[in-house]
Amino acid sequence: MARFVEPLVVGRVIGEVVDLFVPSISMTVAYGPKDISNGRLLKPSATAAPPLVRISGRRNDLYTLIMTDPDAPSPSDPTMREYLHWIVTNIPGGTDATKGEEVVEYMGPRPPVGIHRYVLVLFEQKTRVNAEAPGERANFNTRAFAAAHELGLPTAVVYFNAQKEPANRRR
Amino acid sequence: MDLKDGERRGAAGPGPLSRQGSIYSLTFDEFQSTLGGMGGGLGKDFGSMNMDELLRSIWTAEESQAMASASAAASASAAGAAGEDGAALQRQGSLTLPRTLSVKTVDEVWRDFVREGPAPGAAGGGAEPQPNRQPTLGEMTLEEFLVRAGVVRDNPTAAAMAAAAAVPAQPVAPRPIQAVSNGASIFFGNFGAANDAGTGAMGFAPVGIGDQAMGNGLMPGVAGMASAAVTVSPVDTSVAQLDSVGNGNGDLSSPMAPVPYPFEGVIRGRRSGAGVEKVVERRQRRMIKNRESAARSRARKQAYTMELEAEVQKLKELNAELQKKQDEMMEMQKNQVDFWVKLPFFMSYFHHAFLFFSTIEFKSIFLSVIKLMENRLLCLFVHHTSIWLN
Repeated sequence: MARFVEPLVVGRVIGEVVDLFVPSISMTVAYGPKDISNGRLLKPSATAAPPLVRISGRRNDLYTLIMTDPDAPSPSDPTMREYLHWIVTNIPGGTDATKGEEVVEYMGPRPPVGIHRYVLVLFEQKTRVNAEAPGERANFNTRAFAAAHELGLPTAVVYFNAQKEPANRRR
Repeated sequence: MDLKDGERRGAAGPGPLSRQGSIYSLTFDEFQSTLGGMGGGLGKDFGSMNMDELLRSIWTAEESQAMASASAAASASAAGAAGEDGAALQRQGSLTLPRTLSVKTVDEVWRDFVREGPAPGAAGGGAEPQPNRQPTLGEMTLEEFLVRAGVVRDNPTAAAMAAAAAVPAQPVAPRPIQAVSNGASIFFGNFGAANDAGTGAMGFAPVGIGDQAMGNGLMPGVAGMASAAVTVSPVDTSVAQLDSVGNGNGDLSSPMAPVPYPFEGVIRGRRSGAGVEKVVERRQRRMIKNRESAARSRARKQAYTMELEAEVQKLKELNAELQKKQDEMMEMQKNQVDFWVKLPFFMSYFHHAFLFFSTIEFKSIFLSVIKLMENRLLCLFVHHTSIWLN
């Protein structure tokens, strides 16, 4: 099913991370048993392990998945935008992210200040991609990465929010 | 110059006499009591006054003093005509700004101060024998005065130095500096004007101001401004404005009305200006951040709402589709059930025909009948032949 892009526009994912696109592939992201919907608030502790990312598409096509945080270190002053959390390339269509090659290891959200957006972007590859991991996670640029590997516009985007959990929980 | 004259007289002349002459030679307490005693003194304590009130009270006090010794003032002043003018103005208006000073630019006044600067050494020697009494009002620096009056509370030197340091960086913050320099010119103009307009006994005042202010770092700011060519021009314009007013000899009160405000502005901008500005800036930044954060929060909520609405819509459509499919299947099932339910009746009605016409049955029956018949025929044939044979 094609996701609506309005929430992405309102959530400023389209504009700050990617350009306007038309979803052509369905991507579901699930931390645990439930699929996440755009803009949902998740706890960092619930997202420590990589999610199950299933995509549609044909088996012969390959896809690249990128997860970034455009609000690092703080949404009001995102000097590190974007902070890279995950890159998986060469995911065959109709499978999930575990079938691809993990270029940058998954790192769970650890927002220090404010509510951050964590954006999972799926690109369709023209050919097999041999991407190299960037030197550091901070100041990553999804657009530049896509341009460097001829990925074009995204085919699917899912994002969720996460906020730092209070340190001491009282019972 | 008249200032020099005045100073010489002040230095030579005995203290008590000069103290009688002007309010500037009164001690603070004396001044306060004088004000309290006077009709226009408001009867207020200095601590509870704001700057406007304070200035007004000083002016009124000065005015009354000047009126009392109008002739003395006129004769003692070196610039006689100007002094006359000033006295006349004092009588009619609330502010004293004689022409002699208003004609001068700030630079000139400042130069006078500087030129007088070395003199107080000798003057101080003359004044030393005086007993250990409170400094007179005229000897006080502005800062001391203001601190006493409760207008300024924090440490002035740092702010003054900051202001002086900020002066060279003119393009960074042109407006505050301009305001400061403007206000400064007006401020010193006032003070100088008061000195000039007063009697000759006031000669001490400018020296004291120039000297102590120098020591306190109050003046360097002004000096820096004067030396910086950029900031001189606004100073000049302001003085020129005052000048025209003084020359015009018109109603002084209305154009003079704005004077106290820049005065106040100076104090704020000069003393705690840096601190206040920082606080205001920080508060504004925080406000902006807060608004951005609120906007983000709204956007987040809206995005999530939209997502959920889209989800709801999608699920509704899916649900409708499934419902439709289910209905179809139900219909089909119902039809099938009908068929199987009705079948026995159907079969009972047309049992025989059904049996007969269903091909296999029909064939088998037909064949059996024929066989039967054949057998019968055969039997008959055998029977008959046996009969015949026997």
